[in-house]
Amino acid sequence: MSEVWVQIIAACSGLVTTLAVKYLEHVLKRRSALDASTPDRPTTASVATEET
Amino acid sequence: MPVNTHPEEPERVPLTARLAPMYRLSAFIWLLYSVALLLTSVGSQLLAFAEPFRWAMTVITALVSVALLVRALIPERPAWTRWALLVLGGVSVSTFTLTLFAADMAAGGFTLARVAYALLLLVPAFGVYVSWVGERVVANL
Repeated sequence: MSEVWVQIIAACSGLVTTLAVKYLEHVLKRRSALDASTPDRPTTASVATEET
Repeated sequence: MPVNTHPEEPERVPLTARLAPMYRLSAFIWLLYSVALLLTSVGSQLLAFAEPFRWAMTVITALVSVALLVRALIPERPAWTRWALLVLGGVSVSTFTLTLFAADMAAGGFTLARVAYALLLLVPAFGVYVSWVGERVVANL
């Protein structure tokens, strides 16, 4: 079946995107936990507020 | 004061009562998209050339639809139903890629309508990925 490789590529594209989003979530959660554990540390939100 | 029902994740901000209906509405919207992808897998002529993928997609989207129905109806929102969002995103991206291949290889070439149809199939992926990341990082559902 000549279309098998096409289906494998399609399945892999979904898998890779999902894993990338899972990694993004991991990074954001770690940053969020860091903000919560160190209250004095300037966060992205606080810096943005100061600039405006 | 909202109570964090996930003590294993103390950094998560508890969901307020005002936000709860919005998150329930989002579960219904993703349910709608999963049913739409289920119907696409059954009825799309473009995907007819990829029979194994098509049947796998039908089974996966059916399972995701059940999980999202549970998620939309049960107030406690079981943790396992969160994975339905990620799986739905994966299926959406895979279907988008396969539809592009189908337009080129099986249907005789790209047309604006075929590319637009493939892009429409990609819409639920953006929605559920944003919903997943936002929920895991910010809101306690």
